[in-house]
Amino acid sequence: MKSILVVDDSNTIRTLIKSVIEDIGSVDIFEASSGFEALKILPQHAFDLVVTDINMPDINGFELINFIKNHDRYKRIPVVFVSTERKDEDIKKGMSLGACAYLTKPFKADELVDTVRKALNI
Amino acid sequence: MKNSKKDFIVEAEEILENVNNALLELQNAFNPDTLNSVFRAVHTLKGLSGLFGFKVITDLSHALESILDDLRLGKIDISDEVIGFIFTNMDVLKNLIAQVADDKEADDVSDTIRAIEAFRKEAGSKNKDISIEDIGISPSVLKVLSGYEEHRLKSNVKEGHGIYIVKAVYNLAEFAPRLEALNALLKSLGELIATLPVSEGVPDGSIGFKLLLGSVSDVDALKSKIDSADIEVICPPRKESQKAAQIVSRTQDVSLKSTTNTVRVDIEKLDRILDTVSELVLAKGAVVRIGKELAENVGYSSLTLDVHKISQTLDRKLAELQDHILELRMVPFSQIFTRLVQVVRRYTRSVGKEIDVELFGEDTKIDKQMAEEIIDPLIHLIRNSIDHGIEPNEKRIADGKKEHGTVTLKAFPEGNKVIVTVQDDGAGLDTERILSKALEKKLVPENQVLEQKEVFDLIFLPGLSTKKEVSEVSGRGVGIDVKSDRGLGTTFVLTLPITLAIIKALIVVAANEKFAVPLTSISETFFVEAAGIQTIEGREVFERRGEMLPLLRVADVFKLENAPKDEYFAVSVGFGTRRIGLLVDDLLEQSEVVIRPLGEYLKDVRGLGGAAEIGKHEIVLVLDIESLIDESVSSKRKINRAALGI
Amino acid sequence: MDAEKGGAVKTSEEKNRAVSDNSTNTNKNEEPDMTAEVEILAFKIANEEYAVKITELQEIIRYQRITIVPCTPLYVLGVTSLRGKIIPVIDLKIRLGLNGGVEAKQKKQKILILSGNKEPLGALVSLILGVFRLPASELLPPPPTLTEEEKNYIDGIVKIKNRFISILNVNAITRMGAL
Repeated sequence: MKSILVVDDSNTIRTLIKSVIEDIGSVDIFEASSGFEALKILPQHAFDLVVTDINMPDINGFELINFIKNHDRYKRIPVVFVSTERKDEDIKKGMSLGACAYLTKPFKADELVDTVRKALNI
Repeated sequence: MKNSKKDFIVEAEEILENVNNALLELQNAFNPDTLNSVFRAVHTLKGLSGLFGFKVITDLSHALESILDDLRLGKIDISDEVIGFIFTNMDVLKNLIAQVADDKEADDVSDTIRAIEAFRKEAGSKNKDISIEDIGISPSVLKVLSGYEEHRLKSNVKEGHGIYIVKAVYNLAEFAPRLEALNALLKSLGELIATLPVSEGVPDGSIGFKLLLGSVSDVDALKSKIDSADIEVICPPRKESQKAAQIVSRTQDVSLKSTTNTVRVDIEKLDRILDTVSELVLAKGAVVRIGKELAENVGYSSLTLDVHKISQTLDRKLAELQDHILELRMVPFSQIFTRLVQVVRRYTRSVGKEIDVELFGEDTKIDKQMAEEIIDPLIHLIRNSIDHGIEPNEKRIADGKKEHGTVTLKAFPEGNKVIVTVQDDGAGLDTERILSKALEKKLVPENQVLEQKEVFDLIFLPGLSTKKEVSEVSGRGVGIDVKSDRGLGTTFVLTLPITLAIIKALIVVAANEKFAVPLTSISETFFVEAAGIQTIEGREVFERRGEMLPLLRVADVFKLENAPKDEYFAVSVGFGTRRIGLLVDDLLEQSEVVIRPLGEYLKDVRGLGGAAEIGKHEIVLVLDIESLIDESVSSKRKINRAALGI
Repeated sequence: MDAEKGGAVKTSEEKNRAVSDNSTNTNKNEEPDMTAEVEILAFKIANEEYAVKITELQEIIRYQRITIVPCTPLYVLGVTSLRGKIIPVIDLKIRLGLNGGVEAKQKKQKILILSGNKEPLGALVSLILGVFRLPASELLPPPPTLTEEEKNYIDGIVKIKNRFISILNVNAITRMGAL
């Protein structure tokens, strides 16, 4: 069983991402509606993957990944961005902060499934 | 996937509503957070629609997002014009979402998108920038800022605000409420540009934050307000911005006091109150009935009189209450005019005509809902005037007219109606063109002789332009008429009920069924003897004050069986020359009714504009007068309905 | 952003549910899960017994005044008002093409408010038999002997007390094109 945290401020997008990833099977999905929520949930569970949006209120996706990648306990958790930002500088910024993949919305279900599988090594 | 589509619509509608509210706020006062929330909302809508494959919505929200991005990043200055522009385009977006909900094919919005791009290029031609690296913030912080946060940082520097990094470390178990408290405190001291969670150099079981703050206060002032936090000064505030800030904060104190006696209320809440009131009206009816029964059973005892008195008081007070609530829903016409003028300006620019707009009756009040519903038909009529009415400048000069054409909008109250006129000083309706178009579409048979006024009325037929927009509101007691003089111009006259929430209606009976006719549509009722009904060209007419009034039997319209009678009542409805007599069996009473939509399943039943509850679970159907008039007009001209596909 | 909007961590109970959801996919495809249960409301129309899933039922109201709406199909009885909302009411007997049977007294009749495929819709039935809860595995596919038309309206069949009850496909019955 793999634990995955999905962070997005849109309820519908979270539900969609969740339903796509669920089809992989043997995954347990947690949701956070903002970077701030994600920070609250992170310590409560050993996560195998974080899938996050970038543009969110309060704490954005860049700030979240930077925290994760610099934290001794979390830094091994792979992070996947799913964002509408498709400018090169955003993608570069995301990858340089340590993301293992950067998907732009609208994503294809297969694409997300492949990315998640790769990130989870399954 | 059907459920998810519903999710999409719910969320999309919520987003649009938030955006509209935020835009209204922005019109009143600029606030970067509000602007950013608009951007994020549209951004989310773009992502959302992309996921669902509603490409048209994605494309349009993308275009809007780009312009909002430029706005929040300061590449375009915020102005009433920009906000008005975004408002109009949000309406287009709203339409597209409604089309998804109705399973209709999406409109082509490529023109809208091009217009947005053009607007954006025009507005964003200027550029001002500061290099972010020069501010002196460590790269470890800079590397995680989003484009928007970078922009806010630059704006703060540009305005001479001090830039600070406030550091705080909290116990992991309880960081949430404490961080929220600190956020709130910092927001009161300046602008909280970004919140960075940090892990380096923080003890186990704790979490650290770096909060990037832009503020006019100096570091000592900040330290006195924020205890237990470490503040790093990136750059101090400039002196003059501090002074300005003092003035600002003082005026803020004043305005805080003065604005508190106004509240903004969602119209739905008012509707809910109105619903409750109409339920109370039904309950009052029961009290009246009890009073009557008492009088019959026990005569006029003191108890009976008490009940009678209390029912009268209830009646009066409920009427007052209703009036007060209806008044709350009223908005001045200036609100509609402002939006219309924006549309006209943009439209005239795009078609390259210069047109003067004159407005009268800006203070005339109208129900907010009516205002919303009437705006599209008005836009349509105005565009019609610009496209077909007003001649090119050269032609106007040659004809000895003023070079620029004029569109005049007037709104004035008349009883419980509001009359709105859209008048142009153009060429007038081109009867030959209308007639040839109608012939081409087989709306009239060939070699039929029509009077000029009858030709004018053709433009209201489905299949010829004007009708579609107007017919959407016609079920609610909205009437339309046209006057035109060749060479002098055209005037459209719209008659609107003052409110849609509660209207007065006449309850009539046809074939034992009750129907409601909005009083605003009625000009008179009279008695008709069956013997007095004449037939001209297969149409029943009745001579009334020297004119032939076409008749329409309500029972026939709805294919209800009705034995022939010797006497009928006629309800004369419609305006100007579009007037007909509805033949019914009986007139019952006038009643104040709340018109409700018939709902998705039955919305296509023709001739009906809705339904209203007039007693406990007793519903009457409300006649859609305009569509009945259409029906009458079209059968009068023996219009080939098959050709129209109806 | 508030925590209620979907941020909070699941309780362990919810998590267990999520696990079983993952392995069987009940919530998405409505495929029978051996442990899942369905609740149905059974009722009588003419002499036949039918049922709808509780999830598709909003409420049951007593018979109340229905106003005829002209120019609608025969099975549309008209409209009634439910707390100020106008709701169309259909006669299931005509909708399903049933005939015969002694009609219950009007006062005994009930109106089921169904979710409908667009908006809530009322359906007039003769008699309510009750709510039954049964394992999803007991939901049988419609028998092949049904006519094409019946197949459109019937989702499945259950056996209760040795009687067969057809479960109606509310979505098909309330489909706009037919109304």
